[in-house]
Amino acid sequence: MKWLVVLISVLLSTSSAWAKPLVVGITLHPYYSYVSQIVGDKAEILPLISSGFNPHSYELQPSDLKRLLEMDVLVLNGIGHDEFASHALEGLDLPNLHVVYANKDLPLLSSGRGSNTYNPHTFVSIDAAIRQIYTITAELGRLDPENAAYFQANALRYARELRGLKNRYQASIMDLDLTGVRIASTHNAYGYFLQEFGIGVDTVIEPAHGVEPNASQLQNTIDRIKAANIQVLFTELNMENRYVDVIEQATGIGIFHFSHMTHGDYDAELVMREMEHNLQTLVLALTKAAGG
Amino acid sequence: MLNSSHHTTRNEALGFDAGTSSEFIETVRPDDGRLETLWVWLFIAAVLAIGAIGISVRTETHVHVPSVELNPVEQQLLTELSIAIQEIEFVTGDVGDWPDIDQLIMAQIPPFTHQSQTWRAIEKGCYLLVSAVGMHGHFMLDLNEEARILFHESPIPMISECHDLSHWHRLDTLK
Repeated sequence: MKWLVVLISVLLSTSSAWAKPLVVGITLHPYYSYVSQIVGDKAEILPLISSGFNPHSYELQPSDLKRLLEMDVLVLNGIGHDEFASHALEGLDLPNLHVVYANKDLPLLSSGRGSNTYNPHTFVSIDAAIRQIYTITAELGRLDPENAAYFQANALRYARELRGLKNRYQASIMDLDLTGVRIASTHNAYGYFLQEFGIGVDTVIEPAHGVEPNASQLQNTIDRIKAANIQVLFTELNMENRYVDVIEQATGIGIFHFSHMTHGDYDAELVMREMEHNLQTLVLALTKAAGG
Repeated sequence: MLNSSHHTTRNEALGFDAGTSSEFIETVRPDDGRLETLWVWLFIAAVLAIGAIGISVRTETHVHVPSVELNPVEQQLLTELSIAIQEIEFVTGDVGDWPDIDQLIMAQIPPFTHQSQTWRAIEKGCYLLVSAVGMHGHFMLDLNEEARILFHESPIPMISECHDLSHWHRLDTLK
């Protein structure tokens, strides 16, 4: 009898170790980094689509649907950058899948295309990233209460690392006189990122992401850049925009490349690495524009 | 006279006896479509009535959400406060024993760490932005019961408690 009590107590004490870890799905590269940093080795991360595809124009494939069925949780941007997943979920009955809308607690910026659409590039920003990391952490903690404290500790550590990174570069920017600096961007991806440094975007060139302006739009843009005395154009790394060279030649504007963070392999360190690249680029661009 | 003569002649022609059927009257409604107009109007009225009932049944109550224009500095503060709500909850364990301003600064939670802003705790878990650069309104963070971020555009009187904030805009529900 005594051995039976010992066996039961051993089984109960190790039940948490035997519990199946959550399978957390993600749709975009930054969410892979967030979830990796939050869950550590306490959950499995499963990207919904293979790396290397453009999420703006992706259509879900049968193999993606198979992965969707394996997930306990799916973390979504949910405001326009992973519509391939949002549309698929609308037509599927998946009662066991818990969907986490990472941006549900974030004050959003308008997309500029009507009152009910928002700029979905919240992941190209440190503070907006931290807000999403906390929302994901709280939701995962509710689904896996045994690991909730572990997730929270990881989220706090990761948020402080990101904040520390921002503070290092912010000190350089605060020393600059930016009163006369005017900024343009090729597409509307950097609003959240620039906002956290108190910087606004004066003009956005592309009619939509990846859609090049036509000849008359390009001429209007060149005229606008000259008239507004815009000195800096932020464009996207890993995307060849021939029209950017035309603008550079016609206006003499300084071209700088930000990472969009949705290219390459899924990587837990991607956000930290590419965020630092963007911060270095921002400091360089503003220093040159301010005449430093 | 002429009509009477004509009437008699006609009855005779039809084989009636004018002397024995003098009070027989038959009313015949003209088949000229006059009632069709009535039926069409009744049908239109019925369609409109059914439509009105359907609209009233399906109408959702519209809650008027006050619009608040925030400048980029205020928008950034709103983001930081939305982060602070969750971070304070993680740090304190959501037990209601809310930290004071010095503890928030010690924990390095923005925006309380910003040197350009001065925050004051009105009561436990209720924080008022007393002064800041680049803002046209006042912000308040209230963590008691349901966490909320509040904004007041015009100058505010001295506040000593966080219960009666009916003139403040709640920002965390605005999108």
